[in-house]
Amino acid sequence: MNIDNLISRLQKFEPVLLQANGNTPARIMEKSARAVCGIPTNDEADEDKIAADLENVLAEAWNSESQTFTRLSVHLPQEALGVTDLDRTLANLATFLGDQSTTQIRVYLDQAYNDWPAIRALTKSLRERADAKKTAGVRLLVVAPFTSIPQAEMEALFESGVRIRFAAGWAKDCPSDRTPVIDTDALQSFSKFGFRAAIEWYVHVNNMEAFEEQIPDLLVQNHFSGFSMPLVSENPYWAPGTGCPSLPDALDYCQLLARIYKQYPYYDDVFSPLTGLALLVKGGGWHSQMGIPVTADFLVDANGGIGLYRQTPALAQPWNTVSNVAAASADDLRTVFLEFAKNAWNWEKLGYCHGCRWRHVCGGIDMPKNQCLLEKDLDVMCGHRKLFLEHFASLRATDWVAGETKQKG
Amino acid sequence: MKNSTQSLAGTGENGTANQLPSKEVRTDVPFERRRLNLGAVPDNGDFLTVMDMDLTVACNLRCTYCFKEKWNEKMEDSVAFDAIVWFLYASGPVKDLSVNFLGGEPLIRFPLIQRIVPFARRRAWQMGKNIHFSATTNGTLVTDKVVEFWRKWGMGFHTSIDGTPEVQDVNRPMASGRGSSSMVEKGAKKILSYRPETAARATVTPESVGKLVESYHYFRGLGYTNIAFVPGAQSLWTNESNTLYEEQFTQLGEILIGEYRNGNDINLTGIDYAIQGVNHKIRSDFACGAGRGMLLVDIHGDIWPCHRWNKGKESYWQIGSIYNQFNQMVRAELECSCRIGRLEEDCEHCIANTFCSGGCPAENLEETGKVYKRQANACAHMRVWAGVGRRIHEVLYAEKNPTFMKRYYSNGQNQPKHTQHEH
Repeated sequence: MNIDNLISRLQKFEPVLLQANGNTPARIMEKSARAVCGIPTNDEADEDKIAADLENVLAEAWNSESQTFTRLSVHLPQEALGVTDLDRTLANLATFLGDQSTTQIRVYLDQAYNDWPAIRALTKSLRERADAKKTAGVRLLVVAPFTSIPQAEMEALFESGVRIRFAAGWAKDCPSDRTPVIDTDALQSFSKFGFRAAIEWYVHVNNMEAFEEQIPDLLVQNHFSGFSMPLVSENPYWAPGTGCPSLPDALDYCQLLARIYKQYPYYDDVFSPLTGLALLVKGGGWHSQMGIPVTADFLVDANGGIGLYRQTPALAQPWNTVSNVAAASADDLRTVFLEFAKNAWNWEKLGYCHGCRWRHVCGGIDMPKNQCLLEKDLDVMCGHRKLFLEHFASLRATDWVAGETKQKG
Repeated sequence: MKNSTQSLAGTGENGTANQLPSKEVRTDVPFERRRLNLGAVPDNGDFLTVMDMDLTVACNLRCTYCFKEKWNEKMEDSVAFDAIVWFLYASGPVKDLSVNFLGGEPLIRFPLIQRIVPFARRRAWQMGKNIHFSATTNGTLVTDKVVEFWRKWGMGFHTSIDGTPEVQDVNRPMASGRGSSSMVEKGAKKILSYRPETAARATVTPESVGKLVESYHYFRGLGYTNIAFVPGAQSLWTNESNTLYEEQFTQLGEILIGEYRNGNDINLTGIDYAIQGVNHKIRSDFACGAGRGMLLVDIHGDIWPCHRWNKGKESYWQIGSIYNQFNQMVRAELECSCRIGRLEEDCEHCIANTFCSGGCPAENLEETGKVYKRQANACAHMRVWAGVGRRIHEVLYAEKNPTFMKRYYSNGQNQPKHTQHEH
């Protein structure tokens, strides 16, 4: 069996070859990761039959009626909270793709924020509107470098369904050579109450070592709630070329993620970016019927504009407005969105990702509109994703072995 | 629910420990410097569903038969929080979990309970899980505030109460030497007003065995419908006390028949097992979940099979520590596919072999030094339950007593209802 021949025969399906690794023989993954096929290793295997079998499996996986859930995230910087009709817009965004999608709303607050009743009111309104449309529910996550708040307010927030992430590593307007101090009293107070106060440490070139050193103590203080380590460029307040901190070196970031994941493997349900990447490999990264990635991120700005992006809010493409979305029907919104997404994910236009074999799993990275990002920055944004997608794919169980009649699992 | 299986290894014949090193009390590393090890969780066998937590070994009673050793006074708050987080991870994909607070007297730590329960429920919800809490209490510290807290968080009670005031005061005196019956009576009434199905768990000694019937009426007068008379300190029993036990239980059997005829659905533990044995005819492979789906985390954060199975001389059976490691080898011994196959007794012709699965393994270890060997008096008591249970079944089944049939045959006219033994 010549693997290269086999791959070239299957080229139209753009399969991902998972290289042989230790005792694991080479395997082929459908381009959106919805199936992984084993390849017989014996020399006598009938290549024609195996190629035909694989063609069937790859085509079936891609065209399957059963599609992965889309996971929508709507990111709301604090400044956007006052936009008129925001709750209706959020409810519509949470429901316009039907019951095959889940929605997480992430609200980013600064340390001085204290209008908690407004957050609760938003949650309540959203939940009522979303429930009325019979959705599975919407999750609201507040990301902030919290200070202590009264126990009664904490309880009211929790009861209203708010969940939190403790933002750290960098904050809006923080100089790039400084790392904001975590209010550990507040961290302990939220954690002891019962909030899962995972640390969301925004990694940049100057703060990697600091975090690694602090992890053991932070885990005690947040009662082992875990942590995540997104790139600072995933913070909606970060913008290239504006004095914000630079991204770390691609290799350094990959090594840091790998080292820490190996040392603390218990928090993989909150460990961004690894959690998201693992889910892409587990369930598939592309919704082929809608022609979009299974994850979509919206950014709402202070003026009521709504942008769509992949990993970097600062590079969001303007898509719609709060007032339009609030007034639109689900069908209209869906049509407009899919039309926009079709153009946004036109691989021909995404030069950086066009030839990448992982693009239907990864969803791609955002293209800068001008020269605000260097090639090495794009490599950081892309490199860790490819590394861990490949890693998680190597761990994925084989669904089917070519030449066998029965499907596994 | 099972993880992958692992072969048995590492223990002596029939569960006898090869070595019994003395228990080390860890005083070298202060709790504030310990770090929870979320890797110290089972990676095979049954997933955990129940965790016993010793919140303290201190107690305001001095029960004559108490099996608890006093190494230290209480569980540090940080250990309690750590134990909850550990359990959430150690239970893997299991969604519905139970935690039972034990002691000592756990209500001595009511301030800690008030912090740990909300913390645990909230953390669990965020992981898609639900934890149900209960406490095994001697009833003396139950106040309206306690009951209100229990009600708010939907918690359960188990009450340890031995019988009439006379029995209670002799068996379970206060630390000062005074009787505890009046305090317990007040506490029991508060508990029952909140949760009427709460069990009265009475330890029966050779000295108190003649008062079982009287104690039964006392419990019923308090409002209990769920009662357990469990013999303790088996090696102290004699032929005479065993005979008295049988006489008392025979009378209880007739009383129970009367209760059912009056429409009272009473659960008398032991008799209940025996009746289930009549209709199921097949005994369980395991007497309890100790070391399998259930574990104890003690005041140090050490992991043991259950709250009774954690003594210094039993340290061979320590399954690990939430701060250190989880000992799969010890647990594998307790996860054998069928514990009853390891029993030393010849149960083939025993009248109790339709429900007895070898008794409490921790008690066996205390009494005989072996997990799978029963003390002879324990077998005698089981046979009493079996005989009385059969008699009750014969009478009430023949009458098609509606209360009885609903309790034991509610899944169909003559199909036994499957209920689980409670140990």
